[in-house]
Amino acid sequence: MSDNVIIQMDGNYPDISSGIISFSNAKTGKSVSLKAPQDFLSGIYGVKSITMDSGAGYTILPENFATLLDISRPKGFKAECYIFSGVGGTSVCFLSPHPLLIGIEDENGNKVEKMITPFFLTNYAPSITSEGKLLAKEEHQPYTEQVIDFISPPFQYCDNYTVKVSSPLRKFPPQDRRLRLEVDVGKEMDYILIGRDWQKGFRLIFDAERMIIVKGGELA
Amino acid sequence: MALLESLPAEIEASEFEKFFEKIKSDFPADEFPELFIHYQQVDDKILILGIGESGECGEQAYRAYQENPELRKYESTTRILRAPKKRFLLR
Repeated sequence: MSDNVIIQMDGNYPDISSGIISFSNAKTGKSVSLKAPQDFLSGIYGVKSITMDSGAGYTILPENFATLLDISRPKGFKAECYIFSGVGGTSVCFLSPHPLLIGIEDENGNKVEKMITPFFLTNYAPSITSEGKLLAKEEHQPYTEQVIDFISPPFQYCDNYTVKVSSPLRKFPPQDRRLRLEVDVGKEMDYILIGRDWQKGFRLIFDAERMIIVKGGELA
Repeated sequence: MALLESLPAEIEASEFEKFFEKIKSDFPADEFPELFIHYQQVDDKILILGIGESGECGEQAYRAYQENPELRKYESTTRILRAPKKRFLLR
């Protein structure tokens, strides 16, 4: 176990491009590991990338990934829908009934871990084109009724942390706001977002195609 | 620091919704903007294994399962009592 992990990201985008990312069910111990980049290129488990997303509040995994971790969608009153909205579209998710331990390990064997309760995506609609239809679906009622006014565009947002980014490909000035990233509109959920629920307790530095994760720091 | 003094905490199933309401009022949203709860029901009892922020709730539940593996036999679930809307914005 280490306090400092360095992994590669994909150019300017914080896709994890090296190391091992593991997920373990806190209750059953069932776990899955993905080795980058080979397991992403092969599309094992249907996952083609994992993004350390400073703009996502929570960690989101594809629904088909749940069964690999002994997790199934809750039934009855526990089966609440949660709606995530972004410039790329709208996602409908369920909350994992069990916490997961996420581990990120670099090529030198240094590892950082954090327990979180993630979400699993069940439905997705790209921006504008079909968000309304997605939210109106019978199966999502009554959970989507209250969110229509909240769904972008436009929405206002401000946050109180600074993300510092540099890259040989592009310069980013320090920003007292969210890191704005180019979004692949309509991208299917064949990827995993590791959100700020994981990032709390770590300092993340995006530096020239590297992601430096320092345990014990504040969000940078 | 755990929101409840000792976990796991046992509650009568019939009192569960009241317990939710008490938690919400005892821990105001401005101080505790995010509250997750992990629990399981065994007969007419609810066992609270974790409560707090996402990670904190998960850590408590994990410890409970480690200390008492017998708890793994029972169905369990997680609910969100409260979360800031902006956490549901992607970028």
